[in-house]
Amino acid sequence: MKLHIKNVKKNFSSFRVLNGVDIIVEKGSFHAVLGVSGSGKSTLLKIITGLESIEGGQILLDGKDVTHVPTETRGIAYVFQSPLLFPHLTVKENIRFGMEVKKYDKKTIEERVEELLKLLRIEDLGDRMPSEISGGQQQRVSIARALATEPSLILMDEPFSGLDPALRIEMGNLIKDLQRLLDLTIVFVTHDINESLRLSNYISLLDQGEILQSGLTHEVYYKPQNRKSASIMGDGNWIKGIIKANRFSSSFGDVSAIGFPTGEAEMFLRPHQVIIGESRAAFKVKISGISRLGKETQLTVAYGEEFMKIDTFSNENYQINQEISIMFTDSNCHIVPCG
Amino acid sequence: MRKFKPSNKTNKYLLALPILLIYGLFLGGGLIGVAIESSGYIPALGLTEVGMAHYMNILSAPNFWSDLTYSLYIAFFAATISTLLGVYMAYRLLLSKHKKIEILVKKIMQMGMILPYLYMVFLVLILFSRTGLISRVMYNLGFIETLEQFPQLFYTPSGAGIILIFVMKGVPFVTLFVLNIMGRIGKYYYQVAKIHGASDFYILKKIYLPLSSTAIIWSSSIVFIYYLGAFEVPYLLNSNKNVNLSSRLYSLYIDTNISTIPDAMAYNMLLVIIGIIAVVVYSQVLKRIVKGGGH
Ligand SMILES: Nc1ncnc2c1ncn2[C@@H]1O[C@H](COP(=O)(O)OP(=O)(O)OP(=O)(O)O)[C@@H](O)[C@H]1O
Ligand SMILES: [Mg+2]
Repeated sequence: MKLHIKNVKKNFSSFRVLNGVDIIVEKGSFHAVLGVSGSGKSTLLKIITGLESIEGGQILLDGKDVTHVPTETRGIAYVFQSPLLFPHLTVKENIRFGMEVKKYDKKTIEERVEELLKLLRIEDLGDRMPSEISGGQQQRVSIARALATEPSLILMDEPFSGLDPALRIEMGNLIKDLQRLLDLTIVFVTHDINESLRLSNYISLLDQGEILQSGLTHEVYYKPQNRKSASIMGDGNWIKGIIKANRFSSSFGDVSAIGFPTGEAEMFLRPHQVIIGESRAAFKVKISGISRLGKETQLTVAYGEEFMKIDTFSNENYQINQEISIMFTDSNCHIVPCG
Repeated sequence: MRKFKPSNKTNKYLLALPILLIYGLFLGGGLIGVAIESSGYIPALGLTEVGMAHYMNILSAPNFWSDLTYSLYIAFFAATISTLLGVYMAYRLLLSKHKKIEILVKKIMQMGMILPYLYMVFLVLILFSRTGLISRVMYNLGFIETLEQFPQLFYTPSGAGIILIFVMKGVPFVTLFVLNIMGRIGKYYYQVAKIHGASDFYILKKIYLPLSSTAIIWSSSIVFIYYLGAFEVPYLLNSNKNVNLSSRLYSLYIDTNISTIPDAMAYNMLLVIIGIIAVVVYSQVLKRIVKGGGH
């Protein structure tokens, strides 16, 4: 189902939480909404379900305005931040809940429950009470419960934030597989950059109640429209320069910039897009900072007045003040004209 | 430091021991005294003949069984209506989006709860009697042509006025008692169930009733047993025809003829036994209804 969030405004008393949010979620996409804590992510999801009212704007599902349709008839699934399993019902009874509300026949319900238990790899837990299973298992049950009635749109509010990192990745992969397998449309809210990169094919960046940028995840990641968009998704290097005659030139040399207007501009590179190695196009820089993160090493290098961040998987024993050669390819470079 | 584990049964009972001892001593001691006197053994009054005669006196009295039925009728209806309204109010307050109204309603309920029964009797009489405020307003607005057209709620065999007062006292008690638990359960399950397409009533029945069943059963049973034993309101508002057991007992108590004392004591014992049986049956039935919601 296609979801269109149109110019949505939301206040809590006099405090404006969402200030004209626009997002289009395509059918069959895994759409992440990335934003820091307090940016209004949960509020946005609750608005989509109708659990929160809005002061302005519209929610459209497949082109139909559902802004004033009550929650229970919107047919949207929502996986909350915590599993929220009904504590007095068994795992199976929890999964059945939505189907019983919608009066599915008994046989369909039983078949579907078995299918979901298998799909989420919790076959053996069907008759347990929520208090008798682990947090990760609970969250899987809550996902099964959400999927049971085959909703056309699924909202997920940081569903794995309570889990340890390994389980978190495993659950993410599971959801991603399910999404492909069942052709689900998912809106996934998170403040975890890596998670959003790993799972989503579309992303919207939410900052202080506004959408900074929306689009294909790798586009938004590698081609941010401004510094703020770039920094929400992680470290990056902005290199000042000038565009002249279809070339961008900076202290790091020239790259092609066809179709850009003449004038001041900046070039953007993620730290891992900078390559360490010798070539004719390479530059000599000096290492001014090193931080080792296990298999990855982050270097800060100085070149004249400028600093740059570099991520490398090389296990060479770098030293402060060591000189290294770096380069980057034309196709990696994202150029943003100033002003 | 070792954490206190409430699941440890022995510990729990040990902690309750002092209270149990005190209550056991007073109540148990009192009850034994009553039991002895009810058998007819009161040497101070020169009564030493022991037996069940006084119980027989009461059980064979012409109005005992109709009094019992009437008492159970009042207690059952007052408790049931209080429970239905109280649980509904608690659920509404839980879901309320208007903080100010919620606080106001809670304050009114707290006042209603601490207001003594006798005040409530006056209040209800002023409002609901045939010459009361509501009747007069309706008369002046032309809804009724004479004050006699307003339904007679007091001193009638239906006991409507008594039930009304009990309900007005019972609803706040059940509401606040149950809301305390529902508040702890929180609104999230409501939201989850809403998302799955459930109606408010369905959610109450399947989620909030079973989850707050203990509070509902307790508060409802407490008001039930209280109404079964309460005497002052029925004593003031009974019709001549029907009298409830506790008012009858009170009449026996204040009888100046001291030879009725063993009868009063036997009556007392019977009331205790009836009360225990009735509340056990009442709470078991309620348990079935409330917990049945989940399946
Ligand atoms: N019911 C409410 N009443 C008043 N303010 C609220 C309410 N709910 C949320 N807010 C405020 O709105 C802002 C956005 O909250 P929201 O829960 O949507 O953030 P979030 O992006 O989901 O944060 P997190 O990542 O911590 O979950 C916060 O400043 C929060 O304090
Ligand atoms: Mg949140």
